[in-house]
Amino acid sequence: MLLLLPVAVDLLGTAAPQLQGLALGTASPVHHLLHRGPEYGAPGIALARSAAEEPAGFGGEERDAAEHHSGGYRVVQWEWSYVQNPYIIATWLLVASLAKICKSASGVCVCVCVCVCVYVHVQADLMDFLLFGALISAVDPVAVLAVFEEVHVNETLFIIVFGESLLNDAVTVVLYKVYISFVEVGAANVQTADYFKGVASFLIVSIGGTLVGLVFAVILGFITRFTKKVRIIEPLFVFLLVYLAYLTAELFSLSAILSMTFCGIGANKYVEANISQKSRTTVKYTMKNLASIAETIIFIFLGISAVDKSKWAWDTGLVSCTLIFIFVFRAAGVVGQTWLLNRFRLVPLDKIDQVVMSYGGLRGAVAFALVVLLDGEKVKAKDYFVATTIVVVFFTVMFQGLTIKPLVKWLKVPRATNRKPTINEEIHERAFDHILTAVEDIAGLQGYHHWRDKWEQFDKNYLSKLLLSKSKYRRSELWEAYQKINIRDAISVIDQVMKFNHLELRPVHENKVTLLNEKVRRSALKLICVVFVCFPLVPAALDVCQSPPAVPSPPPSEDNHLPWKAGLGSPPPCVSVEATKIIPVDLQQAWNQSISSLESVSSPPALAEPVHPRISALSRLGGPRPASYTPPSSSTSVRAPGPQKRDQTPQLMGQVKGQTWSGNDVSRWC
Amino acid sequence: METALIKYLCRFIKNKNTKTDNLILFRYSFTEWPDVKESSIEATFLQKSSRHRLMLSSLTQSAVLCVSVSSSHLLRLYERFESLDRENRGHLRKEDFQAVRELSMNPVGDRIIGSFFSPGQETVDFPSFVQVLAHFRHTENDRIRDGAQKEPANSTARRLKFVFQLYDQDRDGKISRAELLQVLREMLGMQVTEEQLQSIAERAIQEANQEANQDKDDAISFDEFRKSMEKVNIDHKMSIRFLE
Repeated sequence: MLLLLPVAVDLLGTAAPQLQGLALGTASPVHHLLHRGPEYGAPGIALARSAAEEPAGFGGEERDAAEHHSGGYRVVQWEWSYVQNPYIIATWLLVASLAKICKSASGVCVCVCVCVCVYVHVQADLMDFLLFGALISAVDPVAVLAVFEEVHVNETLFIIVFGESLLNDAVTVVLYKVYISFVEVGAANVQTADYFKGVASFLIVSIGGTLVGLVFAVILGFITRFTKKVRIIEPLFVFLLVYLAYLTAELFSLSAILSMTFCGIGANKYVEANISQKSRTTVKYTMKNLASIAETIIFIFLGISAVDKSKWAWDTGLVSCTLIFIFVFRAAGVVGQTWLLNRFRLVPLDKIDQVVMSYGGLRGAVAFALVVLLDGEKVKAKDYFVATTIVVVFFTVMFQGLTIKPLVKWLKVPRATNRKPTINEEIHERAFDHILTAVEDIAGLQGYHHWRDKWEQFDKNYLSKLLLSKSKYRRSELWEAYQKINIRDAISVIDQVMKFNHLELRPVHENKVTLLNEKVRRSALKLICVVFVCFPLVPAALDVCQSPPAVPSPPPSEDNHLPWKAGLGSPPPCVSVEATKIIPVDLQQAWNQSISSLESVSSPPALAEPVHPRISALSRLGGPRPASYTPPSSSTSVRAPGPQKRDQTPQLMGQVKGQTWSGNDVSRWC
Repeated sequence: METALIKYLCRFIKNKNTKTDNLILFRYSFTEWPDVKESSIEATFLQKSSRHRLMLSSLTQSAVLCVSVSSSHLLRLYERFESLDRENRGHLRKEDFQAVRELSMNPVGDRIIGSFFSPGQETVDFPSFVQVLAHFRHTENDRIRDGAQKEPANSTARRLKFVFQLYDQDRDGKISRAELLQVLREMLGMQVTEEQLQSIAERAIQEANQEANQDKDDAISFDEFRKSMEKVNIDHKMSIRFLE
């Protein structure tokens, strides 16, 4: 990359299309699969070198032109040297990201093949090979994440492989450092004490990194407790503190990745509760974008190094042996350790899980970075190691990464379930937790539930008091889950109502039209009431519910379960004036549309779906309406409906306004 | 009387070499429950390939109860039973359960205690104690043994029935709205208001009724309960690892 950069710089100033060819040809990173064929590969470098001669001609002209204008004030100037570095980087990233679009659009996969055969025997001794083994066996979190995110295996498997790759940082880097020091000292001078020191350093590095991360997690949680008034800089706190966790761990030469990971894990519950929804979104998408950039850069670097022949030396024996051995030994390691783990696990890991675990061990940037950092003087075989690492990384990421999806399908690995939660499941799962804790206590066992319950007590009594803001401390998870379910249903009902607006006109009997209009409008009104109730969670739900679910047509008897017809006892929620004024824009539009469509003569057709089953659920949720008529203040942004229906709408809204929660909720909602 | 019998059996197992792969099959019959007039013990040693189990089955006139735990588990449970039974009466009463400190903080603690006692009974003896706990045994490679007439206690249906009966205190086969509200109140208690509890209970009943598409009454029947839990992996959620 260093070699090519100056060349590229010259090119950019003058010959942009040629640069495109150069960048695309040489930067053949794994995930950015290109249309252009391999013909740009090796010639890419030649192209660069030949094109470098061109600027000479152009540059001459420019200089002439510049001389003409020297001496006066220049209105517009060519500030290339000022912007060249960020310009090049941005352009390369853009090109790589464009390639991502092409790849996802077409799926064509073409890559540059690096094939040079030079037979040289590798000169290295045991320590060097131990070093190489340590760095090549590290599973790379970036590659794993990139591949597994597309495959959607079940969460257990994903966590196992991804967690392994994260923890590998502690193991690999420690081993690497230990072996580097052994290599520098010389194999003969290594004492037994050094081996023990190596083991001790592994423990210290990993546990120390974790502790640093947890300390920063507590600090982060504590800070976000007070950010209610300064919502706009909440993401800044998150980024800064996590970055500081990383740097602090680096400062003490502890495991920085573990520190960041555990900072995130520890702070997640409290920060997510404390910061606003917008901050949550900001943090999430910024991180994803940064991760994408970093991944792109790494793989561009990898690709360029692959074609830069001066950096590596090829040895067929080493490469082929490495490829075979990493696969074989990984499988052996997985099988052995799973056998050990299964003795303690409630849900054993079966053969299929083990296959996916051993197949999903992709090597990536970590191994490459470590091998490039080797000192060529101390480790004579560095170039061979570099070549082997490049091949291994390419092979695992491309071959294994591409074939893992069909493999997962063929093995019928249980996939991640996106099932919608129901309130019954939420209630009963919580009940199970309590039941099992009780049974464990009776049986005198101190099992999983016992400790988990103890942890939750500790969390409730101390940690949450310290780290959660006061308003969040009181909320109940079951109630939150309940509201999320309601929101999800409300959104799906809105989608139904929207569908009515878009359907064709059909000549319908007038009575049916009236009835239909009434029902749909009532249901939409009901829906808005529910939305107001769940007002704070609406933005969350709009993120959560992406696609309108398919709705089965309910039996006609569902229509009768409207609030003023059913005699059920729960009072409707209080709707405050302030809340009603702040309808989210999306729902406002849908509401207006539905009202307008209902008012006009062009009514929705008489489909066999007058009422969504959820509407009846929600309407029953609202409870009965008393018969008293209370004229409303103009509390909604809804236009007044048609004359024959005027009495219905105000009655509903008035009654909704009239009824209130008792107790704490008044302060919460109104 | 039968506790002394179990004691004898446990000591009998302990003295034997429990590490070997033996299946010890005891069958003893009670002519009357709970008083034991006579008991006949048939000890049969069988060779088995996997780890040792103890199958304890008591034959009554009308029912066959199969409780299967491994012998070391049984011994451990018996020791626990004895430690709960402070006054060495040979059976447990409600006060003995309530003496367990952590249960007082558990929202469903009283219900669990109640589930050990059969309706109308004031005491729990050791076989019933083990039988209730057997609902939570982790299902390993259970194979059908001869003599296993009824489905084991830790099958999914039996587990769900157990939980259902925790909710359904009056045993009418349905979880009425009031019963559900009671459970929710115990679990959530201080954190939500009464109206919120009502909404949740309302929604839960309505959802269960919808899924089952049966009677639209104001309660959850066992079938509706089972249907609403069919996506949850009961075997994993309700297993306790009786650590060796």
